[in-house]
Amino acid sequence: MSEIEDKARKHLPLSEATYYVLVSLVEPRHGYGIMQNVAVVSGDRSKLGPGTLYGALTNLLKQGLIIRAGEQDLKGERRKVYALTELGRAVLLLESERLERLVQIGRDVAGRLRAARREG
Amino acid sequence: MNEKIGKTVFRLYWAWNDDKEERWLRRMAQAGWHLVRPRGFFYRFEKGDPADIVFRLDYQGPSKSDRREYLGLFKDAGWEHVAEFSNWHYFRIAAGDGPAPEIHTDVESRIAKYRRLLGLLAIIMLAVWVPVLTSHPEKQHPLLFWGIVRGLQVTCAIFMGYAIIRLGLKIRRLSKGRPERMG
Repeated sequence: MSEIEDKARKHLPLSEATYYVLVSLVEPRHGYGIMQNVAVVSGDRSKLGPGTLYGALTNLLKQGLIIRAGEQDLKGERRKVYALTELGRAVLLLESERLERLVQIGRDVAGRLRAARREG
Repeated sequence: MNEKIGKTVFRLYWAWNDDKEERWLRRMAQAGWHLVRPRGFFYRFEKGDPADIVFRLDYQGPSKSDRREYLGLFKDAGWEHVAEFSNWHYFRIAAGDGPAPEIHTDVESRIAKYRRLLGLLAIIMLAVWVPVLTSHPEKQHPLLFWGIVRGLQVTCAIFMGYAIIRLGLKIRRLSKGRPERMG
């Protein structure tokens, strides 16, 4: 486990686009599925364009964080499906834990700043 | 039968000014001139109804083994592949309300696009400079002939150098933005 964790650590931190792609691939999806998922989980605040997605997929395949896992039908056309590898899962978990810690710190400091503002 | 009215427009665009080219193609479509195919600096248009259509250009390296996958992503996202010219892909989509749609939604992938282009220019640059430095046309040919050849070689080499510097500056300007933010 620690060996794969060491390997995974080298990929951190992830860009926002890369993180969104990995998050979307917790379940195997085709490219369009990833774009839709990003819109859904971000509440339409973030959009993943096809050019950016293609670049991210190419890099992630090369780095071995995702693999092609068969094909799916989409409006009558065959589309490649992508899935996380074991390494991809490890990277996603590590990055999510890192973000969790940051959010915790953010909550604390935001709370203190708000309290200070209320007191004038 | 109504025959399609067309016209060909000559326009010079540098590779690092592809955003200007995109805006020009949009203005042409708004005026009813729709791009059919670009051939170098010659753009073929067909007359149609004026429409607000956003154009986006992507540069990909040569020999794409996953071409279907690449084009599929754009198609599924609603983009029409209009044309392809020397590894440049022309996409278009109806403008709609709100900000103009993008195919690259973060700075990183925009930079990656110009890096691919830079790689190509570097190879051409080498191909131009190596003969300048290693060939000795004066040994085999009359003065006038090798003077012209040498002149062409050097002009080409200087031009490539200029293009590489301009692209490099564009990449630097982009990376001063915020590479992590997306959307």
